[in-house]
Amino acid sequence: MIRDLNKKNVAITGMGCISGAGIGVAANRQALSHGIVRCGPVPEWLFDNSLPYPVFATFAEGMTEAARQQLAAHCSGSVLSRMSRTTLLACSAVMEAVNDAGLTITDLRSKRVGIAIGTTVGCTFHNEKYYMEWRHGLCPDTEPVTRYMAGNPAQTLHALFRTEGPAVVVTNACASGTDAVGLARQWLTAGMCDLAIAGGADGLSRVAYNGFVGLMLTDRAACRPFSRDREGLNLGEGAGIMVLECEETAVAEQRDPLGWVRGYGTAADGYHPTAPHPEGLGLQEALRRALIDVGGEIEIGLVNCHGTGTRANDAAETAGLCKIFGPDTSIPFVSTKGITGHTLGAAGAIEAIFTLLALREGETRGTAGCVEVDEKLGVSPLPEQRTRALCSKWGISESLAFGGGNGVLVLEAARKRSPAPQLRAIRASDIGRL
Amino acid sequence: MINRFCNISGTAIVDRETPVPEQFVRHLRRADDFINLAVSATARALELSGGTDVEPVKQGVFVGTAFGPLETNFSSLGSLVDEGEGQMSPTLFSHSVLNSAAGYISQLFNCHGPALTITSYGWPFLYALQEARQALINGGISRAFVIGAEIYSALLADAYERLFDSPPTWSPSAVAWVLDIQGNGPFLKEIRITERGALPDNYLCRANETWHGSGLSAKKGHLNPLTHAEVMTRALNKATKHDQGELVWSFNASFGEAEVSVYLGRSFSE
Repeated sequence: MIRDLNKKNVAITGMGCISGAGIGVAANRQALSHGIVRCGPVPEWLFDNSLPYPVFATFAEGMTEAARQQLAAHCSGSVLSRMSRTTLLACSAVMEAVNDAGLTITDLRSKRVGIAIGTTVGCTFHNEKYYMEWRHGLCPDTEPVTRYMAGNPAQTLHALFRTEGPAVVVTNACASGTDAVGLARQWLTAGMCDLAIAGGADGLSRVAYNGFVGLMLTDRAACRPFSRDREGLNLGEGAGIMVLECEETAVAEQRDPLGWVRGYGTAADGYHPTAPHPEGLGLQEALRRALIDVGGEIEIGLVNCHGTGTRANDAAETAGLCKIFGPDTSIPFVSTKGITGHTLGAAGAIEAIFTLLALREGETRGTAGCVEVDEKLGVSPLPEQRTRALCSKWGISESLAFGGGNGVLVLEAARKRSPAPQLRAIRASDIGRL
Repeated sequence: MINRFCNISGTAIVDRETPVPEQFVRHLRRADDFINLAVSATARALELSGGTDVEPVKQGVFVGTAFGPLETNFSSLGSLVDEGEGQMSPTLFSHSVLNSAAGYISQLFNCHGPALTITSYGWPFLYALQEARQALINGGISRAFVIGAEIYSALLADAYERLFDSPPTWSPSAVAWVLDIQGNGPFLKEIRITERGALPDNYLCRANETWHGSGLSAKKGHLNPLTHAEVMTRALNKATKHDQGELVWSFNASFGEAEVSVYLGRSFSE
């Protein structure tokens, strides 16, 4: 009963994205639609490395010049100068999303703003130089510790914007970005904030890179999710951010929804610290929860899978999908990690944005890197050489994580925005004069 | 409307001296202090709750932490430095992720509902409590394990001392609450958190943090990211033995404010 009372439509009114595929939503969309794979050796400006596992890196500065200029004009310089790579990436995507929604930083200050950001390395201390000096009994300058404390993107964004509201970093490993969007949606439906900035961000780190190599989960070539010859994942970095609002607020303030977060489900495998349950048990439950959360019959037009390219993930994930949708479903299943790599805490949010882009286009490309689909998988994902028209505006974006976490978002796309933006300039106060 | 959906049925505070529950010793043989503390607190709170079995998909785990398994993070960093590229210990790396404790708790307590780990330098336990309460109200689960755990680190303590000219008041500990959808109270009525963001140093030293309300007390100057959870737990346990009515607690700091209210069970009436 309470759930129904709180049920509100949560609209997506702005999106921002940065990944190895491109800087900005438009560049990412272009890379997706053309199947452009920008995977390469670890850049020298990122960290020292002699291992042969490629990555999807963004760019050295981490924050776009446009975002930096906007922030410098409106925000605290002392906060701006101390940000971690993850927070820089987050800021780029946040500013794009806020601008996309037609909002300004000043607008944000008049609202209760909830900030939910998923990350993995963002909230960890990975400064090797400091650690080594400290271990040898030296007293290194404490600046890296301060920078580590500034690495919490949600709290740093509040400090930067001088906004107020709930602020959490979701650290559910690779499902963090998905869960952050789901959590922010719950905040809005429960009236805990007026607007939410939600998504995920993660910078590439030498520690995480070597950790995945140590786990023998990385591929020496570009990853091939769902492919018969897949050999692992490639790490990536980036950020995906959505501006979420209750639809009534967005409409009242004349912001067009790009789509809606219609359902969210999360569930644990309770199986193993790193390996997924072989039948995707937690994923099945998360899918059930998300579809129940929608609260009605819908036709799913697309499932954007976690699809990392590891043997275990792709087998478990498709086994779970098979249990929910059946082996012969016509739903296209794709992974976009062949374009971005695995961006860890950012992945779920970036992929939710990609899902919405495809739903709005009404078409999806197959999975980059997957030429021959592994016939042993539970369902048959769309290979890279195929393109599919989508049968509905509803789609699923899902994530699986270390620790057995699973997160699922059900998204609905709005019709594309009118190409005549001057229509949006008419405000309520103008109506009487027309 | 009075919310009857969040019965606080068991609470526990544990430290490094608390032994790991016998039945989990084998499963925890590779676990670090962060995981051990979180599991021990959960086991203790569940034992005190006296709760009946709940369907696995109806049980959720909500962990709030500021620093997570920081010592393990440094151990994995050390492993990279000492062993070289590509040789990092897989166990250390997989246990250095912030949701490692939630993963273990899901497995050991048969929780197949949500498993959420929230990282906040402000009031991490309150955020975990808030999300657990919301999940219970939404009907997705009927039991929530809410855990706050911190192990800190010698490296961070050293930096703190050099930054603020005094050592931090940190000691590894964990707090757990078991929330059930129904019961004989007390009931978690409401949580409100407003964060405004602050400079990193203010989070680290918890500048100007104060609290007010029924039965809240802590040792003078004892401020760390888990203090709020510990004082609420002690106040709750004290109040449910002797008091009736409603507990209202408020927290203030340079980074925001929060308020928590709890109906005590025996005086509960609609």
